[in-house]
Amino acid sequence: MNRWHKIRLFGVTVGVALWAWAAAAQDVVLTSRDGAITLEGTLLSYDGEFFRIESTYGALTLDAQGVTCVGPGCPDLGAFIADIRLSGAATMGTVLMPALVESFGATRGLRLRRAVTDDAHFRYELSESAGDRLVARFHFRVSTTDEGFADLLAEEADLAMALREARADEVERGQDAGLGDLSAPRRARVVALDGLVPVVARGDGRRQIAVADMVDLLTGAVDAPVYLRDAASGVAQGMAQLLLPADAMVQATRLADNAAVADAVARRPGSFGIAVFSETGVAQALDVAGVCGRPIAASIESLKTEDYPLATPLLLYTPGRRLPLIGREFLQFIGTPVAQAVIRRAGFVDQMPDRIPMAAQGRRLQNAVAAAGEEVTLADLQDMLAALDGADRLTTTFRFRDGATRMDAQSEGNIERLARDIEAGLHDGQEVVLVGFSDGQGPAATNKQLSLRRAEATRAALREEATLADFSRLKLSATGFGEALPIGCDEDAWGRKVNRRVEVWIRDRVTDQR
Amino acid sequence: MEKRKFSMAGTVFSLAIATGFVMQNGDAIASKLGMEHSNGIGVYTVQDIQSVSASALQTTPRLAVVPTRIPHVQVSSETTAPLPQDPSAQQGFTTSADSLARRMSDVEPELPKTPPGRHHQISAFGLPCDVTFLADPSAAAMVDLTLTAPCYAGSRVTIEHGDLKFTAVTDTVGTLSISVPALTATATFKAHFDNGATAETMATVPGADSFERVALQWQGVPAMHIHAFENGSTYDEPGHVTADAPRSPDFAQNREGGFLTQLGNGAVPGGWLAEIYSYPAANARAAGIIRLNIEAEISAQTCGREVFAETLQNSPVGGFQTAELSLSMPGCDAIGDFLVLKHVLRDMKLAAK
Repeated sequence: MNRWHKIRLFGVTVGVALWAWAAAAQDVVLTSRDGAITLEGTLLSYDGEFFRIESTYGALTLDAQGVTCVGPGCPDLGAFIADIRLSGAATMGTVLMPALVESFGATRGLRLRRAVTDDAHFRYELSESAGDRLVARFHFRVSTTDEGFADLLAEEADLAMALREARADEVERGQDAGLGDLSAPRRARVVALDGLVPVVARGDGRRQIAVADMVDLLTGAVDAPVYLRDAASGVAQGMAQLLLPADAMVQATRLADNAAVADAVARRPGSFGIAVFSETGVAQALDVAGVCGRPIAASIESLKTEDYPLATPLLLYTPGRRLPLIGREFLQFIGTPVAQAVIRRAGFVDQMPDRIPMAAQGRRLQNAVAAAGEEVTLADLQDMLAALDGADRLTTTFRFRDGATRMDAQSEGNIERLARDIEAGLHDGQEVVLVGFSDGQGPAATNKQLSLRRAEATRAALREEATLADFSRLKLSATGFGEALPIGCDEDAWGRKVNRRVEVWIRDRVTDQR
Repeated sequence: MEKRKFSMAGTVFSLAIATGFVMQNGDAIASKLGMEHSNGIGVYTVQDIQSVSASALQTTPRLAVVPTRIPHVQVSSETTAPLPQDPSAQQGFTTSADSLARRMSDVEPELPKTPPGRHHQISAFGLPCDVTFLADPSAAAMVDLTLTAPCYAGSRVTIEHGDLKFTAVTDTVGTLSISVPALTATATFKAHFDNGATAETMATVPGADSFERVALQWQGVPAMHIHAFENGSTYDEPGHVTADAPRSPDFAQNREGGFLTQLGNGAVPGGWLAEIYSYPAANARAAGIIRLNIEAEISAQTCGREVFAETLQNSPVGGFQTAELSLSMPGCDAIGDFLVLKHVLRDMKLAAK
């Protein structure tokens, strides 16, 4: 048997040297373990797992475990220290990502050291407890989403912390810089969820605020002190995207971190601010209501389902190149249940699916009954309730970009997560119902069709993603109820966006078990 | 450039921080102690601060170290103590067993007493050298430690409680009484003397779990402090808890807020100092938040250098986690300012009960 096959070969044409172990041009000879094949070349990099060499066949990537390295260019494999540089949004960089790095180190029994220049510049050094050998450094540069993307594009960061998706100009610059397509589905991963939350001082009396009133406060139509994050922050950009354009906003007091916004508002009765769910401090968070009412509070549940209209996923953008081994392991760690618990403890919203029983959905059903009439009849509602009888809603929900069938970033992550759960047999013996809903614009019949199409598209995406799943072990069905169960108000764009969705309902098929 | 760089973090404070008598006079005392050390006689006496300074003090007793030269006295567990030179110990005759033992030991220095097989050991004041170390739980999940080590009078002793550690000095008769926050319900404490001698004790503190604590500890020179801002308060408001306004454990016992404990003797060269902030989180009256900052003074000793410390805080995966901390201090043009770090210690989030 030729063991050479065990050596993974990646034909790579990109000429970007990995900064992780940027070797000076030195000669190496790599030989397969059985001595059958030998490759000569110049070592481009070593990332703790793979050699990249420039050979007569071009740039090649080889698994270090499959070869022996001889020559002046060979790195000391045991002395490899991975450097991973994170740059970007303060919302992620101050608490969330450090907590994840710390817990990643703790679960591996590594010793932790935090070397600090200031709050915005620090690094974690992880060393083996026995022998004190340094294995990885996580460098943090905490600033804004904009800066994070800029650093990623300039190859000054390996991971960009972002509160929004890459803009068209950033995607274009990424292409030019040879970083590949930043808008490709797998380039951004949702680390955790957060949301923009309107806040006032406690004891202010207000418990909810209509979108229109929020806009009045932000445009200065109503006079009150307003506290907001700095304009370059992802939080402020999220506001501009979700609430109203930046140039329409009043002269507000801009503050450089989320805690400062919450604290400033809490200290000043009569003031108003936009804080984030993860950092409301001692300020009073307000429920957000649409034109037609239907107030909804930011909560773990409403952010997971994206029923709350001002949800902001926290994203980590990866570079087009391979990260050092420990960097890839860190990214894998972020998706584990341990990391999800860390995320929740840090005050952010994790992405573990929760079940919401029908009994806990009284307000939604109230909305549905109130909205019933000529277009959605009582019979339609009865059909829907019969279809969902005995089932629980999963917090996993799919939402779509404006006027498109393409899902948003959080939903793309949800497809992957649900597919993995199905592959792992988590839903064996269950009926998984994908339930499409639409907004209320246009004729009800068309909307019902549209919602069914979205549910079916979601089912197709799941089947495509869950390649290892045995679909005979569960029932995966799709149905659509159009505008029957509105969450937001169809009179405003926000409400419509929230209403266009595919929900996941789970029914334990007890009857089929015998 | 340096200064600009660190100003970017947001805040530079030039507060005149007076942290009590020990801190203010630490340098002068340390230099005196250093002199004593160079003579090879590590003997200090410790007296209550009231007798030294008339300055108003907090309710918690504080100790100031005043070096006192006691010539010809070598205190060690390996040698038999000679007659005390302290005149107060020689007033009149007594017939107590201690006194007899002392006099007899002088006459028969080689006579084996307790424990068998070892040299009989007795202190300069005629007390047996046996070390006792007691731990009593007290209010606000604190533990009152009483270390009695007659043969270690005026000695440096480092107390360890898990990863928490601080260096104190025993008094003239070798005792040390100090209150330490329990980090765990089953709290063990270890006392280490410089010569390697140790003592250990333990207390069960059921209330420890209802407190959230965070600690900062460092060795020697760098002056750093925890600043806790309770429920939206800011500098110099009642909710600002720091070395200047540490509050007492009673405050937490009455569920009014948190308190700061300072441990360690700042006058001991190279000794460990610790600050622990405690909040009765399980009994919080309302949902709230405690913002926790670290402030490190930029001094002539620390400017432009790297200083080291350790933090102990609740780990995001549960339990206490210790992390080493190294701070790159701003340049010496910023002497007198403070490096303010808002995010090294995680804020405490309180859920209403």
